[in-house]
Amino acid sequence: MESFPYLTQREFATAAKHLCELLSHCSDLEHRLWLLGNRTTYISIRREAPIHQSTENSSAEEDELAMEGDQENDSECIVRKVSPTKLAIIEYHIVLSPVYCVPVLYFNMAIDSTPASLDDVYQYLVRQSDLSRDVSWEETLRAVGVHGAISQGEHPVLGTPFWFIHPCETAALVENWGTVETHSIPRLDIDDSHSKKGIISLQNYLQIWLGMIGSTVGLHLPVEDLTSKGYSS
Amino acid sequence: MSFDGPPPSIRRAIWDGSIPVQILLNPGESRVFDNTDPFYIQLPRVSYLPLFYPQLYAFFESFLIDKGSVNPAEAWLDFEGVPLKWHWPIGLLYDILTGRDPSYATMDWNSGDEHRLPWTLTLHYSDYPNEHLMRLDSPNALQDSFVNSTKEADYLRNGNSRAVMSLSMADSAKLWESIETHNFDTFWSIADRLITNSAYPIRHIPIKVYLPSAAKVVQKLVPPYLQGHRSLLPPNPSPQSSQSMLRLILFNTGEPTTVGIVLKTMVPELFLSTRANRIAKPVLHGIVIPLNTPLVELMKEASYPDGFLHVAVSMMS
Repeated sequence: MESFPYLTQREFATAAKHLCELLSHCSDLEHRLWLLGNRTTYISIRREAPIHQSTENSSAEEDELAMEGDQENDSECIVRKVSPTKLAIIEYHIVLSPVYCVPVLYFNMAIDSTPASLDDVYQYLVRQSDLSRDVSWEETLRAVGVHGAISQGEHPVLGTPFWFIHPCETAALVENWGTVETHSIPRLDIDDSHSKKGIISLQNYLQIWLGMIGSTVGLHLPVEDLTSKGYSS
Repeated sequence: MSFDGPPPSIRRAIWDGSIPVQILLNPGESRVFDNTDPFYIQLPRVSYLPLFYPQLYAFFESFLIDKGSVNPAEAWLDFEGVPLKWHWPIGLLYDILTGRDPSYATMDWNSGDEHRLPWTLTLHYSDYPNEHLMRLDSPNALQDSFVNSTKEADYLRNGNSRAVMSLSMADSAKLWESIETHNFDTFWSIADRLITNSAYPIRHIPIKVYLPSAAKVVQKLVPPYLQGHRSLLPPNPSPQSSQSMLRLILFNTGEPTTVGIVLKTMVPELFLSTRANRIAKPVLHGIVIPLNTPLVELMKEASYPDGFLHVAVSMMS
């Protein structure tokens, strides 16, 4: 990479190909790679998730976006009569920002064909991601900027309204996660923190980035894929 | 920091620029169909439509068929059927949507051109065009969009958003208030620190070029000076790289990038030459800008409040 953690258009295209290889193993995530001429413009990933509404209490707070593995949760199902289910369709787009030179995650969600509001986004995407964590993404995201880190903006390629995770912190996040492999002579690792950093290449750049950014809004890559598909090299 | 540009009256003139607008209520939503009184207002070019929505609601409220079911936050405007993007400055909307060549403004007026003033817009409270317009249903949506734009401009100028981020809470609030209240002095007391901050060499000019009809926005990284000195590039730059941002030019020594150069690069099909326009003209704040204008100077004097030069391309007839 020429200017890690920033990506050029060409590097983004290579990284996008690698991510798509990985995504082809995820049956629940339908993905496409979009080109303009022969230039890679973005990757789209579509995910469908039923939202179960409990009949006892129809308040929106009780709605649940089905996550993988929910079906196994028998005890919950007995108590809660699962009933008219709404369908959430979430479309994620990964685009290279022409300004920040890092990938940006744009997304739209429609619940039964109605476009989601910011509250819906927090309720059905962010809070669901929080269920499996100790630290709240919601608090983290809301603490940034005027609105929080999730803003509205125009898709740089399509020109239509999308939600997006603001990219101004992305470069720092990627740099914190790891370093680029250098071909210099191996040295004694005196700096302990350095040795704990991962190695980032064009092969795993978008995968690592998505692991950090996507998980805040319900886009999860299966964990085993992170390690077992030969990405350790 | 010394101010050595042209007199500040250019900024003043841009700030005071306004468009006479006639607003009609969508006949289908009016209890008197197309007999609703029109609303006339002079809209500042550098302002944003949603700041005037409360005034529109107050005026049209009594005409609405079913006031109870109307949500004032669902207001939107169209011009000849095209929904107006509320997050674009009003002056840009006018310049790009009317596609009007300002050099012939007077003639248009006399010949009864369809785009003559006042600019006629239609107000709606139903059928919000979600696929075209961003949502306006959260109270800070406009401010959020404005602040994001200022951050982006800052990032382009300096390679980071520190200038915007390091504004005190009070100054950030004041900056937004100056937009809400359209206060020139307050705005420039803060914006001068952002836009004309000369502590660092400017990396890129925040500029967006808007193409007619398709409403396509073209944005590229535009260095303020032409790269005359190859030796200033970092060693071994990859020949494939198209992003000049990654090659920081430490010294602004070359010839200044002009409006003509940037248009020929961004929209070569409409600007065949960097010196003469034969097919299209660049319009900024309702003025045709000469192609030889240096972008650095233009940026300091004629940016919109969000820090961008929003240039509308107008086709020549």
